[in-house]
Amino acid sequence: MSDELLFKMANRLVGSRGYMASLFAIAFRREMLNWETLAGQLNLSPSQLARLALCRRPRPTQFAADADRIAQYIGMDMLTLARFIRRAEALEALEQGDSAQSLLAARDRDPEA
Amino acid sequence: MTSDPPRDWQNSIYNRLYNDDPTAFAELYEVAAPRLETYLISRFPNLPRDDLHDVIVDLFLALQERPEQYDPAKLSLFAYLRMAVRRDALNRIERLKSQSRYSVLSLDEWDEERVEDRDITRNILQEEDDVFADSLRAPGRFTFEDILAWLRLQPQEEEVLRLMVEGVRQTERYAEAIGLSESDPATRQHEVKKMKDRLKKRVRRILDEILTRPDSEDGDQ
Repeated sequence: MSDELLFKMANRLVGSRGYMASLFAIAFRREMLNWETLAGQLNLSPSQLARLALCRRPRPTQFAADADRIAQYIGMDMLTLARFIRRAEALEALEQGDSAQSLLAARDRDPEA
Repeated sequence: MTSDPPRDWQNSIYNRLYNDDPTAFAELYEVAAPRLETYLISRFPNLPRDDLHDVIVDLFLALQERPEQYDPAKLSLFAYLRMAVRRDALNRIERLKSQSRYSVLSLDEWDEERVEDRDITRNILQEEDDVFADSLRAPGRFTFEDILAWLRLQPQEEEVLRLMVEGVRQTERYAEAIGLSESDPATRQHEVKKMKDRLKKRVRRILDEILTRPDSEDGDQ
């Protein structure tokens, strides 16, 4: 497949929460990474990273099996993948917590509330 | 063009996609997207590559959001994807035309003769015929011979339908089949189009009838 077609889809999926691409977006934001540096961290080529972006996130009830399947499909180490997912999900939870805190703080400051 | 993967594989990947299998979407995209790209390039050589890629990406995003829009009972997954991507490409071309971008882009990017509106219209009509032909050729529950048997066409009509399925484009071939070789070009074109449209409607009607019957009645007329 042409890289253009692959990367175009990978970039479009960044906003789709069900896909690995959305976890990349969190890593880009929180850890100041980009496609190249993230690929390097995960020991992947840019194409492999783009293919990983198109995979769905492991289902919580089948995390190990799904992560293993994804790792095999991409040709990467399963533990490296699992650690990345857990780290990114933790950062995601932090972001959501931050958002909730901001909303609460904004409401507390609202003189009309 | 590269042939489609086996029907079993297509059915399996669709079922996995439908059930949120973690790698199904990626696997399907990896296999199908390049084929669709080749397919669109051959049929729409003047469509800018960026627009062509957008059409393919949008199609897959829509499929993963609503996989139920594809009905496995009607045709194979890859035949469906070809039909859908062709339809979307035609819509994109219409939009580009209305923005006066299609012909202008041809002039700017390839320094070739401006694509006249009549050429675009003719291409669009030909593409619609090709979609119809593809749907009849696609492996599915019924063969083309099954469809012919149900339609019970006159010899000239059957000849015209065979030409359509083979993807023949020259109006002269169709005119010869209908016995209009000696007519003027305008009459030939008009009559050929009339017959092709009539045949398409009849095929669609018979397929709708057959596909909505219970399985035990398949092929019974």
